[in-house]
Amino acid sequence: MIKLAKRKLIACLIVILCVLSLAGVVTPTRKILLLAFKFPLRLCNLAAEEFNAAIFYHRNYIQAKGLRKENELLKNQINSLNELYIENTRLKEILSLKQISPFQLAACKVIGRDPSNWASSIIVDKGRKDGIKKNQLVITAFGVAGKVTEVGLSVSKITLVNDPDFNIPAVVRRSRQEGMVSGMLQKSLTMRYIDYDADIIAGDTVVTSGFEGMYPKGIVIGRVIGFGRDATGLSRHAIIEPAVDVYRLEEVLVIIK
Amino acid sequence: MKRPAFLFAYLTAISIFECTILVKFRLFSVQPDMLLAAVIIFALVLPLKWVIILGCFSGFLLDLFSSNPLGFNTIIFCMLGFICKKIIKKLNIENNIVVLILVFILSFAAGVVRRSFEPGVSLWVFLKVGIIESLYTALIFPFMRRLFLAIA
Repeated sequence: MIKLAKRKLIACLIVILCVLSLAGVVTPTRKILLLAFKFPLRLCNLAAEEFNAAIFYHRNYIQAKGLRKENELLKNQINSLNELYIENTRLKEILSLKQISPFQLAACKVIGRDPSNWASSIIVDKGRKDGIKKNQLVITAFGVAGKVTEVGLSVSKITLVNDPDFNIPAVVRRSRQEGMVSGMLQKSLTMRYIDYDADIIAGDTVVTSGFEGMYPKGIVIGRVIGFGRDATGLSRHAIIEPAVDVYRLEEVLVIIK
Repeated sequence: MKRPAFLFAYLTAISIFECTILVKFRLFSVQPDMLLAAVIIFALVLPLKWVIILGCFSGFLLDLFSSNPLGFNTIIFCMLGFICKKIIKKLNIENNIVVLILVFILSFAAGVVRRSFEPGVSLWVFLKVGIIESLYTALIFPFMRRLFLAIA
């Protein structure tokens, strides 16, 4: 009797030990087997989904229609929010420039552009009653945008920096080489009256010189990107890429004082 | 002349459209000259007197919104309307292709006249802007003509 009980106890212990040892072996084995079954499982799942879609076609169709409508509404909302975000960023730039600028500035919104391709000007929504006067310099966060050429009571016309009639005395920031910057239509300016041995290279930044006291000095006009020879051959001119993209202006700042 | 007020309103609407919405449709920073196209359309359908009057008004609207001296474009468009009417009358133009070529030539000629008063514009920029503007204006001309004939 006792021998039988002893045998049964030993057998149970052996079984328990086997199970415990197998647990340490089967777990990694199970992972391998599961990996092997992954593709068949996916295939069957796919078949089940197709079957579900076929059986519940009408329900799925109505659901998809509703989701599409909701998706469009959300897309419209995202678009409006994106616009607000971009406008917010732009206005923050202008506000920060107003706050740190030593000048008194009037922020103006662009309400129209010159329809002619042979001139470059914009119309803004501020005028005499906002302190704007003729020949005041117009800037953005990036640099010079133009100057005020006509002023009405509450609307003004601004000649942009790339207009052929726009001229402003300028200097190269690095070497203090002087010249006169004029517009050339499209997206380039020219700095004229530069000697052949003048210290000016591609990449130099050109700023307002403040000579004649008409415009404040040190405001960025653009960057030198190339050179050309004047018609007389006695001097050369520098081709300048304006700092301001005149074709994307939406708000500008007029320097009042 | 049945509806002169409508024609003046039509030109005003075109000029406002050019100053605001059309700027978004620039190609290589150039937009079509819709006022010039409108003057040529008038030259095709209206008597000489009205072509000159409406040409002056178109030029005046262009002067109003641009930075050119007042009267600059008024004179150009007045002459343009006169020349266009004379050409159409003399050649008795009916072929659409010939009309488009006329639009291209007149647009380019107007550009030449304007450039002669802007010596700062280089030859390369002039050719680029002039050709693109003329092509673009000729491209939109048939649509403007159809729209005008539909609403007039």
